[in-house]
Amino acid sequence: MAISVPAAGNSGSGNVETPANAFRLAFIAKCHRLLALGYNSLDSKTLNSAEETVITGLLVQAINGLIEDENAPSWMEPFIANDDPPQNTPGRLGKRRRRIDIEMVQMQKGARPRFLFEAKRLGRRAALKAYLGQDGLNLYARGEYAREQVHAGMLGYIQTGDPASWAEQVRSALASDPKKHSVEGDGGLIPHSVVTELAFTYRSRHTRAAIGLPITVIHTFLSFC
Amino acid sequence: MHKLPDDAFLKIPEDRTFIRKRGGYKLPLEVSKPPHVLVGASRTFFVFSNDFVALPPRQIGISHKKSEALALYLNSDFAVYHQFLTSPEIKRPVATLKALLRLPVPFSDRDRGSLSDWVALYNTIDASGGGTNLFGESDIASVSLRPFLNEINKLAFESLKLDARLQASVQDLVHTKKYLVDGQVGEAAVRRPDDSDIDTYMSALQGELDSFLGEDVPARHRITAIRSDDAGMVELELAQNTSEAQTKTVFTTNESGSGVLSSILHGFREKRSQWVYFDRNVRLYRGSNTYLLKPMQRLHWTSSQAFADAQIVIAEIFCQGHSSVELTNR
Repeated sequence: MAISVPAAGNSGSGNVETPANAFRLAFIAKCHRLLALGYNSLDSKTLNSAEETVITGLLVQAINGLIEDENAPSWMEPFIANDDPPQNTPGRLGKRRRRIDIEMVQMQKGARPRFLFEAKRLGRRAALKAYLGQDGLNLYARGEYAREQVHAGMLGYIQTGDPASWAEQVRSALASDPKKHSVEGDGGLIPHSVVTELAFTYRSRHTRAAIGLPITVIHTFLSFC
Repeated sequence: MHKLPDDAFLKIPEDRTFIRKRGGYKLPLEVSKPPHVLVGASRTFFVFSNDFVALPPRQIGISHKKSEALALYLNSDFAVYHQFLTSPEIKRPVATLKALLRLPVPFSDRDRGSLSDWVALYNTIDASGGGTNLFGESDIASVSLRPFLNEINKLAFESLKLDARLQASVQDLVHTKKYLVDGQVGEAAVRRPDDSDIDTYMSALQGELDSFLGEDVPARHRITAIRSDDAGMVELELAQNTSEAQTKTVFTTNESGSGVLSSILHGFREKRSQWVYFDRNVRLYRGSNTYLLKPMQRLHWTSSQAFADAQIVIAEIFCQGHSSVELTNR
């Protein structure tokens, strides 16, 4: 099955039903809107051979620049984007802790909403394997990242090809071996519009047997070519 | 205070018409020249004067080309808030010149546009006689700025570009929380909130929760408050598939309802020491509804408390919303 480009409009689609869902959807939409604004402020074409850490660093810098702008809209004010923060997981301490690429936090009293993005470059030969593998999507499925969250994000920095074809490759890989990727029932990759500013967003759902809390992963493909 | 009464001014007797040499006289003379702002040592008044007035010791004079604008600004809640936080003991008359000098002034002679609204407001107040004194009299020289405080505050907040949350922090400190410092239990802070206070609280709470959802989520909060003599309860209900602002309603409960609310709150009182009990807010999460139970004291029903409550509700729902019913007492 080919994946089509998600239709524009109806941003933040999802099941509201409970206040928790409503707040999560709103927060996730804001995180993705910041991501889109940061991405749009970069000269993306010049980064078509840049390292993943270089792109991530520039993206975070751009996002924080927007947040800290004197004329930033009020909804941005409580946000902060962290570049490469260590993640606390059982069995890993100090420098041995894994580092997520981008963490977005809403600063407020009490527990702070967080959204994590793990990024991978998509362009070279083994890129798909890296995107889905032990140091990619599988980190969420294993519960090493986002242990306390039910939503998280994957970023595909596309340096060769186009977003739709990469999305199709990811969908096909998840569908061909759902057990390997802990895909939950019908939770394969499907188009999922988060904000209108991002055209290529998808979602997949994964069981996390190790921690007993399933996770929905939102995949965003950003073109750098 | 808009003007000082005539009898506050005395002509300097001839035997006291001297100037100091060692301490210098240029600066004191400069601030005595009009136009200037006369500042009470305890910050109880900031009055514009267009007359030559020699200031007695410890009183402060501010020389400024547009002193009428400055005098109004110094009477704003923001100026009180700033002085409260930067003076060592403002409750007693020891507000310092250092603190006053730190006050940010949102207009300048160079920017005529920034001054025009202030000057216009001053002229309006001046033309109106500045309101009345405590006895309702308007025909004496000492007149109150109280009827114009809302306009002064509005102008100050606009000039300083303070958003609703910061405005609430300023006004709640100046009008409510200030009366709790140093062991005080001021009536302004612990009195029973009236319907207008509750409505203001609900508006701020609703606005904050709905602004978090923004345009991305088609849901809004419907708010109902039930009040009794001792306790009040706010119900937040999530209305689905709408981006329209929902209703806010206040009910007064009967005797039995009042007893139920009070007993819930009493059950959650925390014993902190042998003789001190703190009344705390209780939050109950159930499905689409959230309930906040609060003591009926003004300090729990301010706009800044509403913003704080909204943040706690969001954080708790967001981060602990995996089970259907949760009860929190913090």
